[in-house]
Amino acid sequence: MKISVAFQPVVRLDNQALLHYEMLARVPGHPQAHRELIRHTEAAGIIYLIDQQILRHAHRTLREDTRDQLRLAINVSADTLNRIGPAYLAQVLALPWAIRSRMMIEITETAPLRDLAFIDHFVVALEQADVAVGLDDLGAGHFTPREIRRWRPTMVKIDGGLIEDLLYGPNRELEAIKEAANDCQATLIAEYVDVAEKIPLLLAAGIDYGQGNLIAPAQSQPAYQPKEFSNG
Amino acid sequence: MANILCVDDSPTDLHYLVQILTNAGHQVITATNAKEGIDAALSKKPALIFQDIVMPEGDNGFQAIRKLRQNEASKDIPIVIVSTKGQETDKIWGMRQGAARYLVKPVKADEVLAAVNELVA
Repeated sequence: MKISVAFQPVVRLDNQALLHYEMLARVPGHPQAHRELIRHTEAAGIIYLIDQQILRHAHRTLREDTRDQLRLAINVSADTLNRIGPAYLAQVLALPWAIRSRMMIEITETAPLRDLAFIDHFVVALEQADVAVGLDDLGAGHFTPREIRRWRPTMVKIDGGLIEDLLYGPNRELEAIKEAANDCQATLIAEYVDVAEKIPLLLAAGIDYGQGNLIAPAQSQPAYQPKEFSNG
Repeated sequence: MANILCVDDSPTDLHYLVQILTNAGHQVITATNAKEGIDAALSKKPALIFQDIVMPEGDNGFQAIRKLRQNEASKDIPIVIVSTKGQETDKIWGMRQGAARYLVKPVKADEVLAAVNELVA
């Protein structure tokens, strides 16, 4: 199974400055098929093959970035950690420091994590190796503020559904996530920033970073250009 | 006048930083790798540490900061990162490790001295 990758920028919402790119799996020649790819490989228990390929892509991309400009976030699914967690961790730790210190690993919990003691070790081992850890999809998957407090990630990504709710007023679940993230000095990132109306609401809510098609869709190259947003 | 430790493997960068600080009347101790820096921090008890990050020999600067923060004798010494790693994520990471300020090389004299004024009581 061969995949390609796409890069979607995560930026500061107040000035559109780049934070990093999320490196995403794509199916060559089928730009919209990635959701199916993730769903089917997860169901078949082989998403670890995708996660490992993405890790290799990230290594290669960062190695080729000789000007030290790129910072990349990649996903690792709970299923991968359940099946080959120690081997995956060993692969990350085997990367040269100059590479791995430019990476963030986002744990995506579309399935429950089985061995929480291993995840404790996984997170600490990555942090000690200067690999940032993120928790993905807060508000949509299995993660809750309890996991934020347990693993104290560098970054917490908030699912688009909760961000959408901001348009209709304060949200208790979002407040609990924010409180846990602030207590742990975790940076909050809003996903699915797709309309300009969300940006002032996010900033007012203390969520300083975001990603989504309004900012820039995923592209085949990491070539983000900041742009002005208009509410009109 | 403060006693300040500067840790950097680059002789040029170290010299430049030392000059800024001594010209402003501060006493400066230097180290060229993380181990020397940690030893100096523990033995000399500086009021402030300027810490480089990318150091090929031994621990890198982030590791040094974590060790300094874990040691009772050095955990409260303010640390200013001075690094070529200048991306927003690097700054977030550096502050998370326990740095008080993050300066990107090439540093300017006024930002170095502003950090000293803010962090040294």
